[in-house]
Amino acid sequence: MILTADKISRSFLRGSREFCAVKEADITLEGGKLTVLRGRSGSGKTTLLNILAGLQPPSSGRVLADYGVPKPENAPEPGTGQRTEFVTDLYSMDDRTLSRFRNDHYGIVPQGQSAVATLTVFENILLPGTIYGQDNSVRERAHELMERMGITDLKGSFPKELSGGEMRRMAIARALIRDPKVLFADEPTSDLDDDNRDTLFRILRQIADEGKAVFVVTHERSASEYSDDMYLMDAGVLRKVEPGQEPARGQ
Amino acid sequence: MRIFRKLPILNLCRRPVRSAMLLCIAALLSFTVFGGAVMVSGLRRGMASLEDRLGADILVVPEEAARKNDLESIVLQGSTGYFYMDDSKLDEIAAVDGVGQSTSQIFLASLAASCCSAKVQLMGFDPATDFTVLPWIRKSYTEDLKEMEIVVGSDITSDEGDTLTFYDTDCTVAAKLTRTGTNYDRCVFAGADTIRVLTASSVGKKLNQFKEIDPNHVVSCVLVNVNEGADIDQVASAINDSVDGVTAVRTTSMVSGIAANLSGISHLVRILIAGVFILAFIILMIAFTMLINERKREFAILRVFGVSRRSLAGSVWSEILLICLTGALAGSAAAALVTLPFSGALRSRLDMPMLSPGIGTILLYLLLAVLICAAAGTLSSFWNVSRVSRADISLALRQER
Ligand SMILES: Nc1ncnc2c1ncn2[C@@H]1O[C@H](COP(=O)(O)OP(=O)(O)O)[C@@H](O)[C@H]1O
Ligand SMILES: [Mg+2]
Repeated sequence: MILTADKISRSFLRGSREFCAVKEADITLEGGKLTVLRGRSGSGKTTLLNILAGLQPPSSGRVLADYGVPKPENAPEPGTGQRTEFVTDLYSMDDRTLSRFRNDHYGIVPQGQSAVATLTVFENILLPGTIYGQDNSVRERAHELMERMGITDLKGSFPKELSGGEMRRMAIARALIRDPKVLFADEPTSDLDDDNRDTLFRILRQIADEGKAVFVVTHERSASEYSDDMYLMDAGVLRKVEPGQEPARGQ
Repeated sequence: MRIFRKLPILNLCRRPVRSAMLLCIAALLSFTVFGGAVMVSGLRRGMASLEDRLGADILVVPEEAARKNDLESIVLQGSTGYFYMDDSKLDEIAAVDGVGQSTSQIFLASLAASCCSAKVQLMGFDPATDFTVLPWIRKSYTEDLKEMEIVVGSDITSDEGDTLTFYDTDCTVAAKLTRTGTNYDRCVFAGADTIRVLTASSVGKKLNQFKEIDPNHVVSCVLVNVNEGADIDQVASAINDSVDGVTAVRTTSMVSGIAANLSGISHLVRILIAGVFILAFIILMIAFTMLINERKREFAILRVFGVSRRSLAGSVWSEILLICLTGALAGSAAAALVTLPFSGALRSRLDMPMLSPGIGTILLYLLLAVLICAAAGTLSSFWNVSRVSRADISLALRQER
């Protein structure tokens, strides 16, 4: 799947003045690529991620999801080879369809603590897989993901018993449970130590190598080691950084 | 099992303190509704049963027994006082102008001593002239009472065919009466011949103090119905004027007094129910508002995973309904445990006849209490649920994490 943001802006009312958190941003996320977005706190990174992730409509602009293959309901007439409706505008969907779309195609790791406190690690990981389907279909996969994230021993633990790194790895396992096309992670390494941070970026890199589009918002400069595409956000303005053009600190 | 479907019940089980507090509020609500309904209906039924039995227009007792409270409890509670007069008064009363039917009753006390099976109140009536007790006994027992046969109230532990001993004299239980919710339930009833035998044996035991009255001619009270067209008040004062040493009172005046009292109490109970309902409703509303505010981020996270507005609302509803229904059942059960076994204590506390409703009525009230509680929960959180399902996900995610 290719996800394209087409001149998206988002403004909020601050008192009586309008304040623009994201200004006409264009960005493309592709399968197999790890895209990193960096920027100061308050520069609009989360807002952009939320818009891409179908959680917050933009004030203007569109977010287009290109499935790459015809959607089944729009399958081409046999023989004509003509494909219709490749592309869906996220915010033209109603709530039910968009919710289902998030569940089907997206894995999202929100900023901060995002575990459901009354569910165990295993149940948390299963949860997105049980909203529209049965547990059984995802149990096997949940075990594999726990194995991969190194949290198998924590299967029956509750989130409050977990460390920050374990919590993030649980959140990633949970985001991957439905085998999504796109993985969003909002500051997944904040409050983690160096080792945990490197582990996490290696995992995200692997996920991208497996063919998923990965979009990571982060503060970490070292993220560039792992990324295919790098964007910078400054006061709502998004800029693509070409390789080797990483601005020096303080610039 | 789908974790998402199980979420409401898991939330309840794994947050025991929070759940217990909410359950308590819901239980309080249904406790009041159910307990109040049972109480009002118990009073109603007690009153109805009392009116059924209250055939007499006028009650005549010896002067010394005429303190108002005693009279009321004789008429309304079926209490038996131990006061006596000579049965010649019966003839004097019968001779008063306007007196139609008249009959006498005698009250005796038995002891918990070896001579008696149990400490009960004995009431003798005259089957030849009786018009108050007999119609009621007839509901349980249609044959004539033979000598040394007795009828027992529903609280007496003996059954038909058992033998009870009073003052070393054996009596056979011929029938057991249905419940009245009054002291009659703890009485033993005997016909005129039997009670004379018992009176004589009690004198032999030096038990009942008849003073100078001949034990064979002793009575405790006389019940009077006036002739068609006669004025009850006039007849009562005529008896007071012309018969020495007795007091005649109009029973219906007491009944209407107690009826007013009763409707006052029912009214009070209703106001109480309404008050507690409103209070519990407000508390529920505040509690659910706090609960939902505290969990805004959790709900937003569910939305992130792809839960639609509708199914999020459904999930929150289920949790609230689960609390309300469980609480309602617990509260109603507690109310049933309190009101039903202790209706006797409650009755003597209130000094009112009280008869517990039948099982059908109780089940109906239970259903009602549960429904009202569910409705209160639903209504009190209606706004909250719609608010949470409509909430801006990105904004809710910004809440403290
Ligand atoms: N729902 C909102 N209402 C008002 N202002 C908002 C809202 N969401 C974000 N903002 C503002 O937009 C700016 C960008 O926020 P955000 O996207 O969270 O930045 P970042 O993730 O880069 O720290 C901030 O100044 C924030 O206060
Ligand atoms: Mg942010």
